[in-house]
Amino acid sequence: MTCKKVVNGKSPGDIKADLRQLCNTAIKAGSTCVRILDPEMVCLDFRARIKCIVPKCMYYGTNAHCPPNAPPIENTEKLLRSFQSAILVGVREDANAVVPKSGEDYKIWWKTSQLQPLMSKLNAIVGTVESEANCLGYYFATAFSAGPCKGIFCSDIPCQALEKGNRCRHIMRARSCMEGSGIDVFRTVTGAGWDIYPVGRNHRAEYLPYAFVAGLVLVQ
Amino acid sequence: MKVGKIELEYSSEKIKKDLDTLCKLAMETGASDVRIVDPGKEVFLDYRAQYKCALPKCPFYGTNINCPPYSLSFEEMKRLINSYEVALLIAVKLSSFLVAPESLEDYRAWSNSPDLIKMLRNHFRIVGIVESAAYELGYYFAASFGGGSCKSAFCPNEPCQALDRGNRCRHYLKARPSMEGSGIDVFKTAAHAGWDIYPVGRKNVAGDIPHGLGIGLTLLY
Repeated sequence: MTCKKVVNGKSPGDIKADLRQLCNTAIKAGSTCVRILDPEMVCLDFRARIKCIVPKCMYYGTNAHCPPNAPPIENTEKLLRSFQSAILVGVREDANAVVPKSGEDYKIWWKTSQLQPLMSKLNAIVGTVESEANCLGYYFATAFSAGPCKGIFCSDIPCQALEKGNRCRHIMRARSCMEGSGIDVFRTVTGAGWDIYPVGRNHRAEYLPYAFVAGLVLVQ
Repeated sequence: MKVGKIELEYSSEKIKKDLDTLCKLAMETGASDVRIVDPGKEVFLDYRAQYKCALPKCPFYGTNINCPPYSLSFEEMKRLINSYEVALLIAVKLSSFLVAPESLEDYRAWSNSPDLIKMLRNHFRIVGIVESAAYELGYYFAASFGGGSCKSAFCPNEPCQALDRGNRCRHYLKARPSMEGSGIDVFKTAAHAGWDIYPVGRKNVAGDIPHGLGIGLTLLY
């Protein structure tokens, strides 16, 4: 796509048109639902970050994007306050693909689970929207995904970015997740009018209407 | 089990029913008593609690990711406790022979007993089960604290792997911080809940106390 030249003080009409274009891009890239949001509607909660720590998540401390290496929640707050418009992206998935069915052995199911492909898809969607926002002149556009980058990109190898002076293997692609940045994803998604379900270890696919993951792009 | 969608607010009927379910679950899993408490008022934080990990040094100080100086700071804990409206205090009554040796000559054998590790793990197991069930009911910020160091329960004979840069905890989702190492005055909290609790020292033997008491905490919402 062609790049629009940077204009200081875009008209509200132009901004609206750009946000709509970005929503269409998100849909074309595979998202099921999209909302233009005031970033004030993104709920921050100190407890979101604590849930990486108590008890420890399997990705805690294992990569450059997860706590304790992720920026503090105060930075997320400052970042959110610096933007006026955001795009919330949702992807619904058949529960059978990402949650085990009754009677299925959890460990066997995990090997064929489509959870990581779903996270990967969401990561690609928010990345596409962020890139396009940049080309439209919103050069501070910042996208957040769901789940740790390590699960998507480097599940079997150590994170290289944690070595002093070394770079991330997936620069420009791996990004922070909403929850690890201190965002209450459940509340934000519910507030946007979408249904979301907490999927726990004891939950089984036939009792869930669908699985849902969400990503966020701060645009302007 | 049908999965309920997340709501911005839950009805008082649902909360009441869920609290009842969680209390029953704790008892079925091995707790001897459970109290529903307001964490801001009935879970007592004291700056001195974490100091008791450091002065003098506890054998587990600095040896694992869930103990000081790596655990949540006192200020973080204060903020956390005040973010919740409701918590469950979980008590597990223990045989006095589990918390002190029969005689002081038996101290070494008692402190290396597999029953001790079993007891510590059981405590983490109970609070973990309650936390998971709370999450599945929609209280997705449910967070449980155990008693004692995770190292003594899970990795007594090997170094904590989570302290290696970039490495994960061997017992993720199971090992968790203790209440005392997070700055909670467990004795005061338990006594306020109406439970009998005794300070067991190095010179005490099982006959000195009627029973031991393990305490856990699940912050719910």
